[in-house]
Amino acid sequence: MLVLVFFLLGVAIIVLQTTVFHLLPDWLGGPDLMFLLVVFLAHRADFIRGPLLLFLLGMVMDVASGMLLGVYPLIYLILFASLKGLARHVALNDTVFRIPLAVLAYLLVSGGLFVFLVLQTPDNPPVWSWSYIFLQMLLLALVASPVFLFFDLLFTEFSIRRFSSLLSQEKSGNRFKM
Amino acid sequence: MSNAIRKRGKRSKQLKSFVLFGFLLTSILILVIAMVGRRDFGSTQKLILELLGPLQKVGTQLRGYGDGLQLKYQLLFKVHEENRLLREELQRYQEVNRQYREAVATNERLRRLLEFKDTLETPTLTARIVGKDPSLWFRTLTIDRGSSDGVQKAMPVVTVDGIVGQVINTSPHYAKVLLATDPNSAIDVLSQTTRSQGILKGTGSGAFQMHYVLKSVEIQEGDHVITSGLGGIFPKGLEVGVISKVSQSPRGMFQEIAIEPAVDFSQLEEVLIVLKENSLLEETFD
Repeated sequence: MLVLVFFLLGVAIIVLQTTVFHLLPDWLGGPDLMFLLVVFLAHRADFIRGPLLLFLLGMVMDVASGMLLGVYPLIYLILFASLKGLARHVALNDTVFRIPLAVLAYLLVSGGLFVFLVLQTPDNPPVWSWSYIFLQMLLLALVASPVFLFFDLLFTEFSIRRFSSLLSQEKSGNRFKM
Repeated sequence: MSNAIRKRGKRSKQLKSFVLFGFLLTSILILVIAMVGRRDFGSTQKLILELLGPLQKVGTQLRGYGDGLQLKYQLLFKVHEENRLLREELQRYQEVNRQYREAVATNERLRRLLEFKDTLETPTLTARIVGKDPSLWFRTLTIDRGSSDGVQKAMPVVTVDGIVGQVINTSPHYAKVLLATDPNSAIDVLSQTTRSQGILKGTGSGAFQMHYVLKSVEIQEGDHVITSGLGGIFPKGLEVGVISKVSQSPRGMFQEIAIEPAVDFSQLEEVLIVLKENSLLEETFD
């Protein structure tokens, strides 16, 4: 259920970003909500549902953006693994560090993608604009809090834990009860 | 003692009767005099009137103010209701007006597109843009025409103003277009005046660069750049843009030429796909 809900949410975000967000002025760009979803799933989803979701959403994103198939699933999965690894080895409180971590990750992913494109088209490399990148980071930081809150609500609502907790309630804690 | 008290009570009673009778008599007398004699106010009545007049004036003003207030309130209520209805009506008309203006603008765009379509020798297909690439690094579009409409990979996409890009992927009803502003795009072009040839590539930031033009070749700022037709993808003579800057770095053998696109990529809504039978073009992307 959770996978389905977040997959549909991801698709809705992609549709939103490829259609409605283009009404915003060009110089402003638009907040990358999909990136926030990836960061969120890296924090909350487990090692089975998280990668499955990100792979599927990466494939959808590949169709909507870019010309090299496989770029987005790769980026999302690397980001997922990196953030999971970071959370395991560094004592970070998720809710406190989630926004700065998302913004920093955005910068690193943009940098990584830029290097990849430079290597791919060395005779005609893309232009790196610090001001535009910072503006996108700022936008991301501004919308991150309510967006994460919404994701959290959805995650809690549709988490399998709820079902499992309901199931566990059937078992009585009274060991002497027959 | 008791006789004295009884006498005083009797006298008081008589006095009250006299006073009442006296007043009654005076009133009757005044009435009779007023009826019989001249009907002018005496000095007392005048004084009373003088004192009463201002008080009545204030009272009348207050009543008038109250009446006015009531009337204003009633009117205000009516006006408020009328205002609400008028606002609703205005919104309806504004919406109709907006739809009308949108229809006129769409009509104008499509008319221009149709006129342009007639000028092209090869058959074309009109398509609407349904999605734009949200990424910072890629420049692609999704259009609402696909392989079932005859759209194939590598088909050129243009507008009235100039070239837009090429089809890179198709599904039965949709296709993905690589914009000419993407760094991965490469189109054969030439300068309209000097006929200098080069390869047009996107900078990724909404502009073009013309590559592989030798330093010895003459090229002018402000000159129009058109498709050369040599790549086998775009028909010859389509508008590309205007040369905005020419610079020569000390190193290398080629000039650096910046081109301002003829098409405003941020305003794209409808495009034309130039349909071609030549499937050999697909090999370019395979």
